[in-house]
Formats: sequence, structure tokens, C-alpha cells
Amino acid sequence: MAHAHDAHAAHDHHDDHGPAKGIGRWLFATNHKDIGTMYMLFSLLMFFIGGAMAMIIRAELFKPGMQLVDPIFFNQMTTMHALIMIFGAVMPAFVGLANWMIPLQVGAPDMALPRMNNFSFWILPFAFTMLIGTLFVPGGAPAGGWTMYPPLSQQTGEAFPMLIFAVHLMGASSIMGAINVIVTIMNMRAPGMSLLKMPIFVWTWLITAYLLIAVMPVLAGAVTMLLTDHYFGTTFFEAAGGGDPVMFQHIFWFFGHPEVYIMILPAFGIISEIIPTFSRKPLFGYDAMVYATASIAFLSFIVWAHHMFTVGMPLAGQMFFMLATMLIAVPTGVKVFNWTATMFKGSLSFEPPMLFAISFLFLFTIGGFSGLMLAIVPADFQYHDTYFVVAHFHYVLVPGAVFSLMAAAYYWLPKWTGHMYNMKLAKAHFWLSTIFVNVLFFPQHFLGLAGMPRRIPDYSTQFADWNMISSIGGFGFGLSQLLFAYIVFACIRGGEKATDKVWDSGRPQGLEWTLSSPPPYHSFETAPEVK
Amino acid sequence: MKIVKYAAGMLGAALLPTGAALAAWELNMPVGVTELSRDIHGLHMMIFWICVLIACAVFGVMIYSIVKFRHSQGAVPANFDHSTKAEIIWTIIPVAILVGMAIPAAATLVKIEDTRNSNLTIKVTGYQWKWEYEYLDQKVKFFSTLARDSDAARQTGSGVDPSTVPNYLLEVDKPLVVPVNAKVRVLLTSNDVIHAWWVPAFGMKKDAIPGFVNELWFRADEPGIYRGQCAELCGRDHGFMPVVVHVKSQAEYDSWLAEQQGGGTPAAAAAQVENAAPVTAAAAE
Amino acid sequence: MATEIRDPDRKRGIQRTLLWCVLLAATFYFGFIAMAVLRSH
Repeated sequence: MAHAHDAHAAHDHHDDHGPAKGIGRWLFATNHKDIGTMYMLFSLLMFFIGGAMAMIIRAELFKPGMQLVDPIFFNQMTTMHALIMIFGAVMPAFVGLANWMIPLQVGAPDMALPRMNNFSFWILPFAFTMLIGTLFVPGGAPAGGWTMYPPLSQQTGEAFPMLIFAVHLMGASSIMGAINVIVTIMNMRAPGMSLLKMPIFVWTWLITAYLLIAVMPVLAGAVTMLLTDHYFGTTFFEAAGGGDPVMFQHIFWFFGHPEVYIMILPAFGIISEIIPTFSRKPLFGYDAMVYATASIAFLSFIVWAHHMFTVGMPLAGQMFFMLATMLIAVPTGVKVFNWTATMFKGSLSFEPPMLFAISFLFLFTIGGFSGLMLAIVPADFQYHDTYFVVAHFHYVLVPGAVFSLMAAAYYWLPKWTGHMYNMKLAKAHFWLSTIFVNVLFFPQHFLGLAGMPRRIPDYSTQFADWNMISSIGGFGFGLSQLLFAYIVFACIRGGEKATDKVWDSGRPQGLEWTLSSPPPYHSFETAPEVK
Repeated sequence: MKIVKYAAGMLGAALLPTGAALAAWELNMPVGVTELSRDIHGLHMMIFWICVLIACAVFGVMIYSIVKFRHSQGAVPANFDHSTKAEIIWTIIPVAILVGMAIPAAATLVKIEDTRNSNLTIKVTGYQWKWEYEYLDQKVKFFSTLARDSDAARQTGSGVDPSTVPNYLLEVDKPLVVPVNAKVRVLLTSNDVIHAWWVPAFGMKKDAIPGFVNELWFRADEPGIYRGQCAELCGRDHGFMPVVVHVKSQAEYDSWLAEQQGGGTPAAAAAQVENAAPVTAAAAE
Repeated sequence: MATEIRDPDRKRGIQRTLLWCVLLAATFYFGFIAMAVLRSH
């Protein structure tokens, strides 16, 4: 740190000669690209672990009757699948993207707080080792659902304190990651880049980071209270001691609803970057997109109770949360309309990132429609806690958030590695994913409407057919993702050289495309001027 | 898609020989037997069709753009990047549609929350993993648990084909019995963790929360047997605590009630539960 | 030059933003626990 300033790298504050050698490069990484890479590889690993759990779930549900696992293990699988996918796969993937892309897009040499960046990443392997380790302790892994509703979550065995501590660690990691994003965006932008000139991905991440800072501490507070109820005799959520189990749900969903936007707003940013590139046309309504993102973020704080319409709220409360929830359809609609208007009268080509973006448009919108249906309180009394809900949130999370991550990987991978990937294989991966994701999740709408509750390990024979279809889609989708891992690793190892602009549409906009592919170790050593 | 469905059909036929006869390719929410459930079904269908209309419009433009403005077909991109008029239109129209949806939804909600003037009040208590029904003014109280044949078949490695068990997982030893055309008020609470009591045909679902009492009501207008399940994760056997309600004519209900009250001591009621299981299982269609 | 990460102005800016972020997070954490404590009696 105390280097004399070198004439060639006067702007650099640490190692001026590229990456360190060996494992030290990763353990002591302060470089935003190295940390971003680690985040994304970690997330890919978690995606496969969480996915394997989903395969167990779908295998047990393949036909009626209990064939493979004990009901308690089934509940452990649903709980762990959710925790790992949300906190281990989707969120770190977006943080990894933020690490890679934000300095490149705002014209900075690195993130503002590089050592905190290292810390926030290296917490995660410990958190998830502990979480996954719960599978091997007496009583098994947490089985009360990822929502951890008391009193059920208080029945967790020795895994209980491990779960709480793991959630605390994930929360601390996310908060530090979010703080880093905000500090970088607020202080490290290239001269001339006013807020309303920032790339839309940077905007969505800025708003997401504020959501994270506001709600991750709320989750931490909620699980802290679970912990004190368990060990220190408090009765926050215990009716017998004057507490209120429903209060946990209010606090949890005050975190939980913004959390779902934490997982989708950066996805909106990615889609808003990709569609203009391959439509060869500027993003329609940039300002409206920014305001819509901000409105969605604001509304996300006042709709939490729509996750708990059946707990018996006062009529006025139900009305309020129904109306506020429906209101979210307006800014979300603006976004979908603007993406459509961006494609309209463009000149479209269908490289893998664009294919995933288009698939996102259609399938996320379907998830939005089922969300609107769920907002209607009387109808929700039927839908609540059925497979209809499962179908809804998987539509927004898998072909929504996960497809946007695939799109982002296929969009920026040549920039990151300097190599093009195998386009044919990537297109095959796209078609397999899109077809199987629908085979997997669309029938779950039917199951829910027909009356199948969620989180059950076995079901009445009337639900047999669609469950079997859904399971087949699940296995197909899971296997197809191995292709993704292969494409990514093959691209890291080599391939046709990528140009600086990568995409020949002549239109990828943004500072990242002015750098070489791969970019220099310290992204922008001198700040670019933004007109 | 077709190939997949075909393969699935083949697989299904191979693995589940009798499954095809019992199973249904159910697509939609069934219409129930209460006014509320019909209202809810109506709301559901209304929103569904509104969504379909919007989807046709939005997906139509997307598909048109994908087909018409292809780079490979030499499409030349326009350069517009905003239109205040269009943006105002597609903000206002959704608001109007939402208001149109909210009004009938609010009206139904008011009706749902009105539990006054009930003819009968039943207290439902959730346990891990069974339901207890108590007829508050009639001094009748009993547990309702998963029927024995379902319970035997659902054990891992039981070797019993679920399709041979009548009403697999949806049958209980002793169902709740209510009179037809009576406004039944249900008070919900729990003895341990949170459960949710749900009968799809009645359109209503509500959580049973320890230390708190929730209420819902239904008025079934057709006699019959209606089945549902616990709808809030409540631990290991969450999937195995069904709700079965027999809706009977007033006369049949009255004689049933008299019979229950005849053996009114708790011990006798418990003995009845023991006896009821095989009888119900044998009588089940 | 604004890219200089050790530029004193920028360093102050970074510290100020960091402080606000931490305060925001702490407010939500302790705020919600305090709310729960007040409600439980």
C-alpha cells in the first residue's frame, strides 16, 4: 500500500503489475474483476447445489406415494433449495455482475472499497458451508421453510443456531456489497457522467443497493429475535408469553418483498442494456425506465402483507395492500412496454443474449400476470399457498432473474475473457432452457388452481399427471444447465478472439466497450470524459 | 413440447397403469358450492381474461417486431428514443384497468369478511398433524385425522399403489359434518404451529394461529362431500392432514348431531374416533 | 484528476457516503427490534 507512486500507474493504489500469482490472487483479491469472477463462480456452484435439491424434490413428486425420501427430508430440501437459490445463487450472481460491470460502466479503476469487497465475498463460502453443514447435524437441516415462520422454525434441531448465524453472515455480506456499490456509484463516476447519464444497469443496481441496505438489517433483526426467543427466554413471537407469531411474518415480509425486487431490478437493468444493442436502436424512454425502477422500489416497501392475506388482517389492511400491490403493475407495465417499443422498428438480430432477453420479456410478463391475479385478495384466498404461487414466483425468478443472468453472461463473457464462446451451443442451451422451463413451471399453474397445496411431499392422485410433466421438465431443465457450465468454462479457456466492441451491431453503448477485451487489470487508469 | 408430452404420456402409462383412469388433466379452478366461491371464481376468470387480452396485445407487438424488423431481412432501425404521449397512454390505461378490477374485488372482500348472523359456529383447532372440531353450542368435539388406508399407503416403501386407495390423502376418519344452506362460522386457532384450513369448494382458506382466533364463514348450497388440505407448512406431516366436510340435509345433520351428543363424554367421543376409521374407510366410495 | 482514488475530496466523499449507508442499515436493524420490543407488551 505504501508504494512510491510509479509514473506509469500514478492512479493506482496497490499492486501495479497485474494479478498476484497463485492462490493469493484469490484469497487476498482486492481487484473488482477477480472478486466479481469469484462471486459468479460461487453462484454457479450454488446454482447446481440448489438445483440438485430441486431435482430431489421433483423426483419425489414424480408420482403419488412416497418413494425416495422421508417427509422431513423433503421439507429440508424445499427449505434449503430456497435459501441456497436466493442467497447463494441469484444474489451473489448479481453482486458479481455489479463488481465486474459497475467500475467498467462508470469509468472507474476499481470499486471504492476494495478490501471490504474481499471481505464481503469471503464471508459467503463460510456462510454456505455452515448452512449446507446443517444437513449433517442431529435433527437435520432447517425444515420450516425459507420463511422461517415461528413457531415451526423453533422446532428446528441443532441446525437452528447454524441457520441463524448463516443468515446473519449472508446479510452482512449483502450489506457490505451494497454499500460498496453505492459508494462507488456516488463517488467514482467519470467526469461528466451525471446521474441521468449513467447506464441503466448502474441505475438499477444503485436502487437495488439502497433496498438491500434498508431490508437486510430487518431480516437480521427478525432472525435475532428468533434466536433470543429460542435461547434467552424472550417471547417476541410466542403467544404463550404475550408475543405474536404474525408479527414475525410482518417483519419478515417487510424484508421479503423488497428482497424479490432486489432479485429482479438488476435483471431489468441487464435486459435494458441488451435489447437496445441487438435492436440497433436506443433504449425507449430511458428517463421513464429510471423513474419506473424507483417507483417499484418505493412501492416494494408498502406491499409486504400481500404475502400473508390469510393471516386474518383487518378489512382495511387487506384493501390497502391489495390496491398498493396492484399499483406495482403500472411501473412494471411501463418497463415491458418500453422494452417492446425499443424492439419496435428496430433491426433485430438473435444472438444468445438477445434470445434470453426476449424469452425474459415473454415469460417474466407471464409471471407478472399471475402476480396481478394473486394481488386480488378474494382470489388469493384460493391461490394462497398452492402451486399457483409456486408457478408464479418461479416464473419471475427462473425465466426472470436467472434468464437475465444467463443473458448477462452471454452478453459480457467475451468482454470478460477476451474470447467468443460457442454460439451454436449457446443457442442450443437457450432453446433447451426455454422449452424445459415452461414444461417445468407452466403445469404448476394448473396444479395450484386444481387445489394442490405447496410444500407437500405427496399428493392425491388427481394431481398425478401434471406433476409428472413438471418433473420431466425439471430434469430436462437441470441437465440443460450443465451445458451452460461447459460453455462458460470453454470460453474462459480459449476461443476466437473477441473484439473490443464484441457485438458487430455497432451499438453496444457504454464505457465498457471502449476498453480492450479482456479489459486491463485496473479498468480505467485515467478517467474517460463523458459528454 | 408435443414430443415431451407424448413421452410423458408413455412414461405415465408405463409407471402408473391405473393412474390414467383416476387422474384428471385439470386446468382451471373448479367452481365451488358456496356463493363466495362462485364470486371468487368469477373474479378469477375476469382477471384471467383481462390478462389474456393484455398478453395478446403486448405479445402481439413483440412477435410482430421479432418477425418484421429482422436485421437478417435488412431492416433499417429507426432512431426514436421516447414518446411522451405513448408513455402517458400506457400509464393511464393500466391504472383504469386496475381500478376496474379493484372495485368488484373489494365488494367480494367485504362480503367475505361479514361473519355476522351465522347459524352455526364451529371451532377448528390445528394440531401437528390433525384437526379438532368443536361445535361450540352443541357440546360436540372430536379429532379428525388422515384415514388409515391412506396413512398406510403413504409410508415410504409401503408397496401400496396410491391409485388403489380411494381418495388417497384426502380422506379422514371422522369428517366435519354441517347442514346444507346454513351459514357456518368457523373459528380457527392452533395448539402448536401455524396451520391453514382450506376447502377449495368453499372458496375459503385461513390460517390457524396459536394464541389467536381467526374466523371465516361459508354457506354450502349442495349436500356432498368436500375435501381440502392444510395449506400452511406445519412440519413433517403437513401433507397428511386433510380436511373433509360432509354437507348434509338439515334432518340428516340433526340426527347425526343427536347421535354425537348421545355419547357426549370425551372418552366416548375418543372411542368413536377409534372405531370410525375402519368404518369410514370401508364406506368410502 | 478525478480518477485519483486517494484524492482527498474523493476520499472524504467516500467516507461520507459510507457513513450514511452504515447509519441507514443500523437504523433499520435497531429500529425494527425496538418496534418489536415495544409491541410485545
